[in-house]
Amino acid sequence: MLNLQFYFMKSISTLFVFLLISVFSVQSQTKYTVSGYVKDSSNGEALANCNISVEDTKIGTQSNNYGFYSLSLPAGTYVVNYSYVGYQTLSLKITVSKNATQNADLNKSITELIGVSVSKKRRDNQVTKVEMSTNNLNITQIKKIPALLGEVDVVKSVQLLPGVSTVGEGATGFNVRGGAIDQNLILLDEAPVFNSSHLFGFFSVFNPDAVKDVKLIKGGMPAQYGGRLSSTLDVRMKEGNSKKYEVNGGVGIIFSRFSLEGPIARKNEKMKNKSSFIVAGRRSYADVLAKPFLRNNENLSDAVFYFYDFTGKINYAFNDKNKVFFSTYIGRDAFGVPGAKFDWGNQTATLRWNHLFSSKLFSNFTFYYSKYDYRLGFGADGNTFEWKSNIVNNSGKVDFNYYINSKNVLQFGGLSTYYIFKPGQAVSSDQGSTIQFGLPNKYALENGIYIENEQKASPALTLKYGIRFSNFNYLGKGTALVLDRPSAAQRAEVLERKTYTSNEIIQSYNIPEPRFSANYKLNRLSSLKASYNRMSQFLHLISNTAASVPLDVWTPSTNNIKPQIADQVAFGYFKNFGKNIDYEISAEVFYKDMQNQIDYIDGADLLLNNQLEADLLNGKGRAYGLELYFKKNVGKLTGWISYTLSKSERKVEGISNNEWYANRFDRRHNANATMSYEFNKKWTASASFVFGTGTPTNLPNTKFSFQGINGIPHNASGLRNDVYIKPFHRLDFSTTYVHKKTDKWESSWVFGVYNVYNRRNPFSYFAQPNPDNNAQTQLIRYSIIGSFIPSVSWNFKF
Amino acid sequence: MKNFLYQIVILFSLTVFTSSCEDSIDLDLGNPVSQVVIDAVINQTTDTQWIYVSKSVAYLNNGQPQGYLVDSLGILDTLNFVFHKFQMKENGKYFFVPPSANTFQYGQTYQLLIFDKQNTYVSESKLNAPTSIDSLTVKYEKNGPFGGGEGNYITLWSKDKVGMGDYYWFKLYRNDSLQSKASDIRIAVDNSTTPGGNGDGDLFIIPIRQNFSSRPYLKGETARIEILSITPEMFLYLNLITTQLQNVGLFAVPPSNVPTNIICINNPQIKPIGFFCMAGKVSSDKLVIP
Repeated sequence: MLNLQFYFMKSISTLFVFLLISVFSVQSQTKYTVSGYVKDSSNGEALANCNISVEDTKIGTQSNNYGFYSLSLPAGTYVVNYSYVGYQTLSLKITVSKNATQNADLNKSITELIGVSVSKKRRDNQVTKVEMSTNNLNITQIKKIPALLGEVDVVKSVQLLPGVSTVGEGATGFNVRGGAIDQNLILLDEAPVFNSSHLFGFFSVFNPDAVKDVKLIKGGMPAQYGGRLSSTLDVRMKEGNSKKYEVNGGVGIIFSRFSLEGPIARKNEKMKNKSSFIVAGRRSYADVLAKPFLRNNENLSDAVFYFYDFTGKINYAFNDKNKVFFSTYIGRDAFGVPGAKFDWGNQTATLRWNHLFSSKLFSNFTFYYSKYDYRLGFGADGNTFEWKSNIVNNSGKVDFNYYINSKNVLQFGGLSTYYIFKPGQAVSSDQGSTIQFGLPNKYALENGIYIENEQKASPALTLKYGIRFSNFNYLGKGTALVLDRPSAAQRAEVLERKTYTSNEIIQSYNIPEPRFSANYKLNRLSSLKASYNRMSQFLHLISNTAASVPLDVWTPSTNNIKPQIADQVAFGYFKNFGKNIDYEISAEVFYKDMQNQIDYIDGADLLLNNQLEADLLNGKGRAYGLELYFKKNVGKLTGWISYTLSKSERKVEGISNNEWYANRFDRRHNANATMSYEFNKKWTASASFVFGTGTPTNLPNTKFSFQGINGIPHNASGLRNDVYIKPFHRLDFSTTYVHKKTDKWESSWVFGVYNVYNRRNPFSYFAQPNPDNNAQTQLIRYSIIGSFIPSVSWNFKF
Repeated sequence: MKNFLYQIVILFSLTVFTSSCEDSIDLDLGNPVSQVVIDAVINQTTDTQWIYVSKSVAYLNNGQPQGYLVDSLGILDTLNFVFHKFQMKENGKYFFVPPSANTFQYGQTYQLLIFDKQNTYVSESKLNAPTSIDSLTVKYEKNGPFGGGEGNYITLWSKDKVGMGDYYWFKLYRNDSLQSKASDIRIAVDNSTTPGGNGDGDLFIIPIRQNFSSRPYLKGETARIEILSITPEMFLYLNLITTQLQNVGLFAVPPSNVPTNIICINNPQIKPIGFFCMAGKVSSDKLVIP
């Protein structure tokens, strides 16, 4: 096995060197660079992944995350087309005789409304791009999807994409290609968000008024991303309108939203319309609305339950070569009744500096801070118990895009993150005397460097190949446990506790991660793609519940907890068709092999346990499947249909008779459809339908009593997750009525119904003694949402 | 503790989302094999000691569990090689009256032996000394602990034994009736709820010492608490039972069997269910709510 791995790595390196040599050997003729930024003409927002093609040549590129692009062209006159979904294609005639800057301002497409495409030059990205297993959603598309209680939700939209599922309604996070929820790297303007949910899993933390677009990468992972096995969800915030002040807001059943954006530094004529800000906030007011109804309920009259978030971003262009962005997010959920309280939230701050070293070399320097914490307390009148836990990380990162020539774009960079984990600190105070207990902090340093080249090897073949080196150090000050597990799936014994001083390396891991993607264009409208990537993960969410809880604690890899590693291969067929290339279809298959998957002994104690590692088991995982995707981007009717056939399994010594068993989030079939139809300028209707076969669980088949405790469940088979819950399906509907729309004021009403046909979808089955008579036992179907939920919200913009 | 925390989380989530719902359903759970169940918790006092033997029943069978008759059973004193044989009271219920307060000694290991036709079931447990109880007090609270309403709440004043690694089981008798729902199971390690970083020899911490009032006490009601010094294995066993009995909702963990510490020595393929534990016992006085 080791040998195989050695030869594999060796052949990868040889291939890599060979390809690198070919990169620099294609220059023949004097070429000039045309570079610039692609933006939305109405508000100055940068447009990422815009397709830029030069007519009558094979030359083309895409704008990067900041809207920057660079093309190498021989002297001459060209027509350059800038096309982006939802925008009119812009064709510019450019005469090239020296290096030049050419910015492109795209107009929003009126075809969205009238259903006629004005451009026949549309090139859709999915066939041309080398990337696969990737879905882009912009906020306009997300806003069309009917949402629970009318609250537009980024994460819920992602759950409708192929390859994405959840363990059930109301569960935090999402599962990508058979991966656990902690295997998704969720980035908000580059900073990782550790808990993406408000109110457990009912709403996501991203304010739709401040989000520009999201990108979900499930496979063929670019080398710039690392640290999680299964996916990257890259959420980009709006920069704010750089041309005029704009206010957006809404009043819904759960939240009220408000955002303000506008230009800054307008006095400087040269830099006018280049700098802007946005601030956006939301707060729930279920507590305020419920107060009058709870007045007579003595337990709930003083109850608090609310959640809020604030998002802010400012960007300032010093000149054409330097631009700085600062963005921040603060969100919190709080629940409490007299004598008990519980709150949690994320905070992130990102400072970025875009610098153009030359028209060919774009760079971005990022510093970010991210924190997730929770607090839990109970007691009153001087007798209290309080418990806190958090994870903090500080990171510095640099990314370069080097547009070497018309055939090669090199990306390289690195990242360094320092983590502080506070797994749990508790204070028990009793009439002035306090006892502190809990777990010591843990520390870690993660580094990554990467290099990756995208190469047009031939007119039909595009390759992307690179490597990322990940290095992780579990650091002191701390204690490392030396463990011995006498029998599988039992609590390990602690043989020794070794102490380490501050910043001393307790354990170090180095993992090379090759990345490779290829796109072979069969013709103008279809292509075949393949990818392989290795991913590693050094942070683990310790959770053995069906749905993750806000109390779950993140822990680093240690001397006992090995880094998770995944190898994934995927193949896909992509095709665009229709009169105006309005339709996209794709089919992908994937296989993912996962090592060092964390599982738990029966009765594992995961909170405030200073021997946590003794309760963790190490297993392997595998997931494979087929994903089909059909999408219509433009016209009166837009939307998509996705279908996923997949299996996600795990094998851990000592569990389920040492056989492969299904993961709790395994769903064999998953089909989703979301459609939106624009009747006229006033009315739009949308519907979503989701279907998924049930997830597995296990149930007892016998019971016994012990010391007067009745109905203790028991299963003689010893198998895990062998009973499948009944399928899940749901239809949601919403309609938007634009009440008034002028240049200065726009308002609309959104009416929605969630779970239209009132289905009680099972989340799980469980066995329990009858609460009224514990000598009797019963099986329960547990549904999170048991009825249809109507909603109405009002949105405005001026 | 964790279960208690999850209960809080679930309580909050249910408060907000009252539309979540539970329906009783019927599923075919197959024809399970019935297994021997042994329930043996023995203390050092001269009270009558009991061992119960029965058979597991199908999960959805809500009839009375059937006692199971064995040839003989008892506790073996492994130091003095004395076998304390239990007598049968009824089908599956066996008793023994210790002749003196010295019958079972602290720190000593005892064996459970059950002879059932050709099968012999064996287990072993050490008897740990009990802690002591200072008092059980009652206080009228405007807001009860853990979100409870106005009323009388009891507090247990007792300290952990000196030395780390002491495990306790608190049994509450309310109006002389043992509270035995899963939500009534109270266990501790040293003075806290979970292993690690606990205070040694200190008062049991707040969530433990105040958590004996699932509802406020009314005037005239009585309360009494027994503290058993159990083995670490028994602590885990009770912990697992609590988890399994309350393993519901959004945050359920994978259900699993609670492990036994009893083996069938002549045939390891035969898997009994249940547990054997020797435990030093101390009881509070009976408190009558004024």
